[in-house]
Amino acid sequence: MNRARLAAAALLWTSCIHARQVGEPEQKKEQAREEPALAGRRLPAKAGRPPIAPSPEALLAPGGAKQIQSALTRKGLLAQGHETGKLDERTSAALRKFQERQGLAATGAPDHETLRQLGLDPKRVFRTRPGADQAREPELEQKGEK
Amino acid sequence: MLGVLVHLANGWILALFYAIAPQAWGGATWWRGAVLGLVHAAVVLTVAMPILPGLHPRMASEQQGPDAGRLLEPPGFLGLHYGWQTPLWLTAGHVLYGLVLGHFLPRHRPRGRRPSRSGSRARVTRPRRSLPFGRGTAGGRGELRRGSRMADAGPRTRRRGPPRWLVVTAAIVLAIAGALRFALNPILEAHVRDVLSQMKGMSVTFADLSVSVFRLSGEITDLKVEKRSSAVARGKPLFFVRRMSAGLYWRELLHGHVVAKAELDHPKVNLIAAHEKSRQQTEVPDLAEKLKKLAPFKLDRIAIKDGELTFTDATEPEQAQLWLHGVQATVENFATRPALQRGSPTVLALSGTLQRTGRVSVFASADPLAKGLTFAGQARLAGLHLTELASFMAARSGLEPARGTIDLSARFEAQDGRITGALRPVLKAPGVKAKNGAGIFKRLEAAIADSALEVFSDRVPSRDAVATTLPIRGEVKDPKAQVWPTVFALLRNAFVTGVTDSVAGLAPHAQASR
Repeated sequence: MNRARLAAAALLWTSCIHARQVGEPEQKKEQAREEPALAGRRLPAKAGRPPIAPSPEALLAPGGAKQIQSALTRKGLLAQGHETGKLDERTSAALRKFQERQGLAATGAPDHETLRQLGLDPKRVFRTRPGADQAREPELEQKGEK
Repeated sequence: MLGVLVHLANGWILALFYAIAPQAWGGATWWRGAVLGLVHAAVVLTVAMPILPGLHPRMASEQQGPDAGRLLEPPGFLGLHYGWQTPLWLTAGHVLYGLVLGHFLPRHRPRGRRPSRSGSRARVTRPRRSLPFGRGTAGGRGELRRGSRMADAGPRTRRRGPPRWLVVTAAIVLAIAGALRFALNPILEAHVRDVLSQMKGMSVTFADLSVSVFRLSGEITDLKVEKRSSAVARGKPLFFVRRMSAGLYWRELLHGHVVAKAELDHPKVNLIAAHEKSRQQTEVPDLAEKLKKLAPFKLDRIAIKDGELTFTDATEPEQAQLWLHGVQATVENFATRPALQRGSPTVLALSGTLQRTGRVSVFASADPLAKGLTFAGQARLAGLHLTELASFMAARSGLEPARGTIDLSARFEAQDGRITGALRPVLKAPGVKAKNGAGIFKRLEAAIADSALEVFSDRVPSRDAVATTLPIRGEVKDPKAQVWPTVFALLRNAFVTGVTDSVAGLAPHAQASR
């Protein structure tokens, strides 16, 4: 098996030895093609189901990120004027610092407990579909939830 | 039991002291009794507690060395060896004792005042007034006027202080709270030990359990889970947590929902892959199921602070180890009624460090009530030095990474049990070499692999990255499959695929993952 791999590697190396010029424009094009493959998207909404998304930003309501940034600025953890409306690295780092200060798990992602301690209403910051418990009454009863 | 009886007898005898002492102080009142109680507590904490080891035959002293027999821990100064709540509750109890005695004890007459005879001839003082038409003044032996009788200091004088019903109510409430506080802990501790001892094949121990009635919370410290048949060294329990606490949400309680949050402080999981079953530790026990039986509430949030996961591959001589540490994680909005009333998905957020240099972050949201698995998420590993994976790669391929870093990005989603996604490992400035002691063919293979990495790199200055995208595909048909174990298995497979396919230096191939 090792010798087969050795032979395959040698063949590959020989056939590709002319391909030395993989320049920057090519790499960027490849990256641009691959970005959509990794970009997250919200799963299609279903009646009575909560919103599902692969990133914390996609779960925020419009203006939610700005509310978080304003609250962090008021606490002195984010520079004035950094209200980009996006959960970027600086916002995440500021969130992490706040969570450490409050004794919460410092994940750097906004969660309900963090928002409450920032003085924000999670229902206004996150996308929600209130009343989902009524649509899913049979499932809740099966779980024993009253 | 003997100690309780002795304490009861002490209480009766000391009540005499509480009856006599205030007489030198102007009589018994509720606040004088409370002050005496405070003095009493101070004497107990500063004098009686430290000398207790000298009196109790089964209590160790602070100067004593290790003993084969079991001895009671000494209370120490202020009883602080038994926790900070000991002096607090001891003082509260003695103040209450003094307050109740002071309030109900009869107030003796103060010195220098004769008791008056009740009724007949009370001495009154009233101003003399002249009678009309010059007949002198009235007064002398004055009449007994209603409302003018001087209040005398007799045995039934009106007390100043809180009303009796308030004192009695406060005493009963404090007595119940104190009884709950002292009785609840040992009862609960025995019950928890009994339930946890029923875990098959596992030995579960913990150092202490405490419950706070006022804060509606409980805490277990130094909880350890070990495999009973394990031949692994004692220092590696399967699961250990320094402090595990749970508390109810007051605001949800006011809405009629009994939901709680839990926190795990410094939890550690040690997984070992080995050929011998007795050494193998690959399954994390379902502690959560057992704890659910104990707790009469639903969890809405779990937080992990400073967690650690160690995986040791004992199947190879290199004994390679993966170490994920500094883990901060939250899982929120479990499918409880309040969470669904809010319309929120269950959300997992995690960050940590892999080996020494790799920064890990994971985010996922899920609908745990959906019929088929429904979740979406992403994971990132950034800046992991390839040399920190040397022992893993050497064990599998005979090659070792010599330099470079790896970044790994993964995105995944599942709808109705069908899983899709993509995985992108990026090697930066990579290089491989043969492991120490390798033969000539292995060295040649290493050289070729190193050249292949060179060929496939993008030649961007200061980066030299080799990257590709691997699709993730799979289906989970098991109706009992659960969201979070599936997410973790998917991440584990993605990491293994991403790292091994990249560093092997050969063209990676797509793999279906679960």
